[in-house]
Amino acid sequence: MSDPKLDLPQGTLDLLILKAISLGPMHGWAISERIHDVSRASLQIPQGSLYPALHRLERRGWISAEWGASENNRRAKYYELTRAGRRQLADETDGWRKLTAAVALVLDMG
Amino acid sequence: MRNWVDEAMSDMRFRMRALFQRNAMDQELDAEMRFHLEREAEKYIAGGMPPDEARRRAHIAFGGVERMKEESRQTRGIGAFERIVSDVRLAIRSLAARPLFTVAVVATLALGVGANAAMFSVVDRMLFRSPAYMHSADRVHRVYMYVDGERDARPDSRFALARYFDVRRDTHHFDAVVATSFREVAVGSGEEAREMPIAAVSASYFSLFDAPPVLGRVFSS
Repeated sequence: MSDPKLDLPQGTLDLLILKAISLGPMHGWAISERIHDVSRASLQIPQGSLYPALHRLERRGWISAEWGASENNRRAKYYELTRAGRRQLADETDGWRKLTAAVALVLDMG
Repeated sequence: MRNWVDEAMSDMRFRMRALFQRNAMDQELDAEMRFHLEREAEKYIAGGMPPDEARRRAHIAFGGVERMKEESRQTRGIGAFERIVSDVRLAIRSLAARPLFTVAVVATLALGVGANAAMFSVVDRMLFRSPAYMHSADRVHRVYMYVDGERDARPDSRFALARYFDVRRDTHHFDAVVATSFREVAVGSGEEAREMPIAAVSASYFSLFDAPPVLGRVFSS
C-alpha cells in the first residue's frame, strides 16, 4: 500500500477486461479481483466502473453474458470472450505494446 | 468488413433489448451489482471484519452505485430515443392542456395537407402521367407549327385542317397522324338547344387508345 496507485489511461480498462476473461467465463466481481491481484494492487479502478465498461463491450459484441451459478452457489452474470472479442484483444494488445515501446524509446532518449 | 458487420449486428440486438426489455435489463443490472457488493463484503467478513463494516467497505470500493447504474444505462445507446420519447410526451401534455389551440392547429394542418394532396393528385394525373388508356404514350408527340408574328415566330399547336392533311401525306415516320379540334357549338334545336363543348377528331384518333367506346362503335375514315 506504500506505492501511490496509478490511474488508468483512457480506454485501457477495456483491454484489461478482455485479457482477464480470456482464460474463461467470469463474473464482474471476479474480473475486478483478477485485475486487482494480477496488477499487484497498483491499479486504481473503482470496482463499479467495471460495469459500464462490461456493458459497452457486450454491446459491441466482444463479450457475451450469461447468468449462471457462482462459486458460492448464487446467480451471477458471467462474461465470456466472443470470437470478435478474441480478435479485438489480440489487436489491442499489439497496439498497446507498440505504444508503450514507442513512448519508452522517447523517454529514454539521451 | 466482417468485424464491422458483426459489431453492427450485436449493437442492434443490444439496443433492441434495451428498448423493449428495459425493465428486465434494469433488474439484471441491480442483481449484478448486488451480487458484486455481497461478494466483496464476504471477502472482508472472511478477513474477520464485522458485517456492517464489511458492507460499508464494499460500497466504498465499488464507488457510487447509482452513478454506475446511470453510466451503464448510458452505454445502452438509446439515450437519444428516450429523449425523443420524453419530448413527445411533453408535447402531448401541453397540447392537451390547451384544447382550443390544439383544434385550431390540427384543423389548419389538416386543411393544408388535404388541399395539397388534392392539388397534387390532379396535377399528377393531368400533367405528369400519360393520358388514361393511351398505349405507347412514349411514342406519341404533339406537332407544333411556328406562326410568323410581327417580331418573331412563335409555336402554335393550332393550325388549319389543310396542314393536317399535308402532314399526313408527307410524313412517314409515324404509324398514325391524328387531328383534334375543340370548340363550343350549339347542340339541339329550338328550346332544347344548348351550347356544349365538342371535340372533332380524325378517325385515326381512336387508334391511340385501347379503350372500347362505352356506346356504339368508333368511326373509320
